[in-house]
Amino acid sequence: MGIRRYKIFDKDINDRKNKLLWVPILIRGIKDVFKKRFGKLLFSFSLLPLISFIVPLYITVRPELKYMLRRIKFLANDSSFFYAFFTNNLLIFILLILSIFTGAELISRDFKSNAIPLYFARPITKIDYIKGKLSIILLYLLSFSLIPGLLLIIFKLLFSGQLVSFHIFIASILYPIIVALFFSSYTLLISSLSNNEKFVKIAIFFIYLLSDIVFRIIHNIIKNSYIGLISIRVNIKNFASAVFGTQSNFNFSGWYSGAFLVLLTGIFIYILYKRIDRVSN
Amino acid sequence: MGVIKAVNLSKWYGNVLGISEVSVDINKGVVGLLGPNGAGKSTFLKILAGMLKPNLGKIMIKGKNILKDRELYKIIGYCPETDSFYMEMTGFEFIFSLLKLYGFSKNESKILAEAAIEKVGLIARMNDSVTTYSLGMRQRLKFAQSIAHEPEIMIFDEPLRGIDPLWKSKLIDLIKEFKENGKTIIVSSHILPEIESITENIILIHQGKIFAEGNIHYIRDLIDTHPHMISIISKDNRELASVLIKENFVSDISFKEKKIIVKTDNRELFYNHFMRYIAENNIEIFELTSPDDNLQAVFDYLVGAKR
Repeated sequence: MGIRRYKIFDKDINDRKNKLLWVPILIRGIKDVFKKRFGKLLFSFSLLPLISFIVPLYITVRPELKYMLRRIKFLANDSSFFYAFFTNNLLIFILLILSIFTGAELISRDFKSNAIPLYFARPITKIDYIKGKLSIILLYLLSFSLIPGLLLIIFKLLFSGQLVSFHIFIASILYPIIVALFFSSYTLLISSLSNNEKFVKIAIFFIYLLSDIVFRIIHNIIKNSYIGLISIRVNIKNFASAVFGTQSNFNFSGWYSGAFLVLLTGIFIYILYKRIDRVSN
Repeated sequence: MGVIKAVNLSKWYGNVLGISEVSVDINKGVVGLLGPNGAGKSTFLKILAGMLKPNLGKIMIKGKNILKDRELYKIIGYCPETDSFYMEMTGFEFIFSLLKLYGFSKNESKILAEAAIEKVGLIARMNDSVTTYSLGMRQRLKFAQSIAHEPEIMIFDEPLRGIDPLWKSKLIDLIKEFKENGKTIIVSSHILPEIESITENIILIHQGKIFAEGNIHYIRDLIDTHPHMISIISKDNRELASVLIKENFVSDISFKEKKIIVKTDNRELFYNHFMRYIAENNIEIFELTSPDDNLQAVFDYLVGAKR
């Protein structure tokens, strides 16, 4: 039963330089998420923001419905439309739920199953491991934020025959990627803190919620907009206003929020790496 | 240079010593890693497999530092001591998904997974969830994942634990087969007869240090603090004892049931004289054994004294 006896190996495994060893982790993860109960229901539900924004998009191109433009503020221009799509509370909530659904158990389950040694007894590095796990959440989040955003651009083209500006096109790619990266790293970090999946799920939701509650309380006391930096939701919305060029509800630049989200993502991944390093050693 | 070369390995877990200044060369063949619980066997094996970074020292696999070349992991198969499974997966999915991590294609992984599962006798149950497996079956599955990619170096940490005698014997045969195929195999256990049935080459580790290394009988010969015991049953034990006691290489003689137990500091000299004596005097010998020329005795003499 030797490897060479099968005559299926075009090249000796030892000579292969596979740089994409994290891809099997991604594929396995995608399959596992799909097998989960209520997965299809959640994914169907996650299409709601897209569906609910196709209708107003259609309104903008129908002359007989133009009167509605005055009533619906976000239909005024592309910037406010795409800002409204990407920052509507339903979409952000869906991204949070998707993060929990797809990523809460990704690392905690490995801890619980004591599977970490099995990974690192193979040629994959800790970076590969994190890349593989991160890409699972990222893929699902982008499927319900970036892809619908791009679909809306296509629908706009189909309905009106007009392309969105280059700025909106780039913003519709950049913004969901950064937000998805943030949610993915945040989810994985919490997942690496415990092998109790229920605890991880509650913690992801609770910390998100808590950041907003604490912001509201402190903001009501000291009335300083910069306090918004402690709220995940505020940072996401404020960053979107900078990216899409709309008026921010806060008195500090949305780019600060963006930089803060990127910084947090980096910190989360660094801590995650250290956690994995500590557990595997 | 050996296939595996450990140079001054030391590992601490906080203030607790894992292993200390371990240097060893391991060549092709089977080496048994022995030691009582907590001796540092698993730590040593994890470092060999490149899964633990030593605080001091380095591990060279075929002349390359394992921590600096992850490609070396392709030629190593590691079977951990503890249960490491995704319980909801089937046995096949488990091995298949781990093979994919080596860069094997889907087709290659499928063939190799089935071959490994067949070797450990789980082919009929490979599509069942691991949750439904018994302890012994899980152990065999764990063994299968470490050999599925047909590595040159196999590191087995307590591979026979919880396995029924029939499959224990089959896995021992499999390990011997790997040895015949030129693999380098390190098997750890604290069940001495298991190791003894696999190999005569051992590394004895205790309190994080290597106590002894090499062939069991050679090591036994080097232990001069305990005279060799030789058990004899002859037609006339008393007469034989009266002759043997006169020899200066015999330090003690005692009677136990129907046996004479002779203690000697020079086993080779004893046998030379003894064989000549019984041949010249036509003495009938029914049994001649060395009860302490085995792994258990070596282990007891070396480790027992230090406990």
